[in-house]
Amino acid sequence: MNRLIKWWGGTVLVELSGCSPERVINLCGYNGIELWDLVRKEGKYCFYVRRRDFKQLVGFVRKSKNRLIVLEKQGLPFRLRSYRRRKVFAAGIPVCLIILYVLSLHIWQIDFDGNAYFTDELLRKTLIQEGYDTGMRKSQVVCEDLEMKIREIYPEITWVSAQISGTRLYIQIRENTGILTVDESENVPCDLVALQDGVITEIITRSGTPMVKAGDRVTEGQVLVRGVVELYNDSKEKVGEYLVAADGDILAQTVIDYQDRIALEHPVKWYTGEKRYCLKVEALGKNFTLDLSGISDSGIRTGEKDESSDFLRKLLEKLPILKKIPYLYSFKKYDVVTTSGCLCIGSKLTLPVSWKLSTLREYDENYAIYSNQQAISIAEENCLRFFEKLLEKGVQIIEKNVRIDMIGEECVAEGTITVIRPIAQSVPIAENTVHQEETNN
Amino acid sequence: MNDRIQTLASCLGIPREVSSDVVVLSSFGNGCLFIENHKGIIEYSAESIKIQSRPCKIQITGKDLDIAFYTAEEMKVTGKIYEIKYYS
Repeated sequence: MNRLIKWWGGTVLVELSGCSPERVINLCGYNGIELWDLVRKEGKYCFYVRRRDFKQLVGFVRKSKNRLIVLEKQGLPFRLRSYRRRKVFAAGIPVCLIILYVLSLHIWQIDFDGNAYFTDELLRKTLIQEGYDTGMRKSQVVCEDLEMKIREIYPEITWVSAQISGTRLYIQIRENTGILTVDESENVPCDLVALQDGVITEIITRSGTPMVKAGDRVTEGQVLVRGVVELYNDSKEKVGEYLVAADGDILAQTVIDYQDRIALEHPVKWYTGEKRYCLKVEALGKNFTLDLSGISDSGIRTGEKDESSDFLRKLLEKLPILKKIPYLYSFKKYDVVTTSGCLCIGSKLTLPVSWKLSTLREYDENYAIYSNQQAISIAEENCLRFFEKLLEKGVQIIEKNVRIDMIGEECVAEGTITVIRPIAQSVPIAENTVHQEETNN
Repeated sequence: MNDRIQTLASCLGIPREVSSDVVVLSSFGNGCLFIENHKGIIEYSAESIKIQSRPCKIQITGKDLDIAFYTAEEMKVTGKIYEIKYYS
């Protein structure tokens, strides 16, 4: 901070010599002139003094009949003085400020937050169709109008907040992908049938006639709840029946087969260390591309069947250094890592210049072999992940019986998992009846 | 008179360096020395600095002695300090 203050006011490095330079130093001290970095070299004193104290110092030097030489001038006042003849530079500062001001009147960046289902690109396209794009004036953006339009176009978006921060239009979104819709199948008469074999552990019927009870063993396709409600009179005689959409929660204990095979030989990427770059710059809506990737469909730029191509291939094999030239050799297999950025002042003032740098990393695909221990640990991880997925789905695991063995060149995880899970599936009555008739026949 | 002022100041709990203008030396190892309440430089070279102060003069001897800053009240001497001597 102290250095910044000194730089702002300007400092002078002087060399003091003569018969009694100590007298000048003492005079400076008495008159409140601060000196620093005082060094004595070859009978002369060198020190720094503030620019505003320099005139007073010159007076003391004259009085004491010493000599003062200015060695160096530092700080903003001297810097400005040296630039005073550079008229274009002087004019450039206000012009730059004006340009910055004009640019700050426009929107140069649109950011979305909170969107998971709708991608940024999709939302950006929609905004462009509605007349909101980068480069438009900030005064033309009506946030309330924009929010309303987004909500109208995407009913799944339940809440939108648009705000302008600097030159950035920031849109926050809350999505509701699980919109409740009236299921038409609810009105269609249907039965609930078993998805797979199992033992019923719990049955709650909301509509329809239950055909099974807790503890019953059921087979795949068996009707669990019939979509028929029978009507009886007071003498318990059946007087009629009507069809409903059967509904209920039916949990059953079932067995899931689990099998996972991991081959010991597996492909791995081996990076050659060769990198290529592709730079795309977008400025004021125009694109400039500097493509040094040298990517073509074939491994070599020229046609594969040409004699010249064969010659080139042989040449490249003999002189691998030529592979560094993008237009002679292009990568066959590569990863692309893209980094993007934009020019901005601070965090809010974004300027209309952005870039994308794609780095292509070449690799060869080779095969590696897992050790038995590695393969077993991968199989275990897969198995645990499978269990976690089941739990996420609300399935209750009762018993796990999975065995991991090494069989030849493979690691095989096999076994059964006993779970309690919902097994009911709606089947329209007509279809179900036909199915039953077919099985009866 | 001076003794009376000193007595009064000590009764009031005022530090001595404030109540009287005696020189105060604060040293950080042998590489840095702060001198407060000095009265000026008598002589300065890379090996020796003589300072006028109250109640006596001070001579600092050492190697590559520099004055990092110098004001009317205080100064800071840097370098390798071998000796600090008081004399009148």
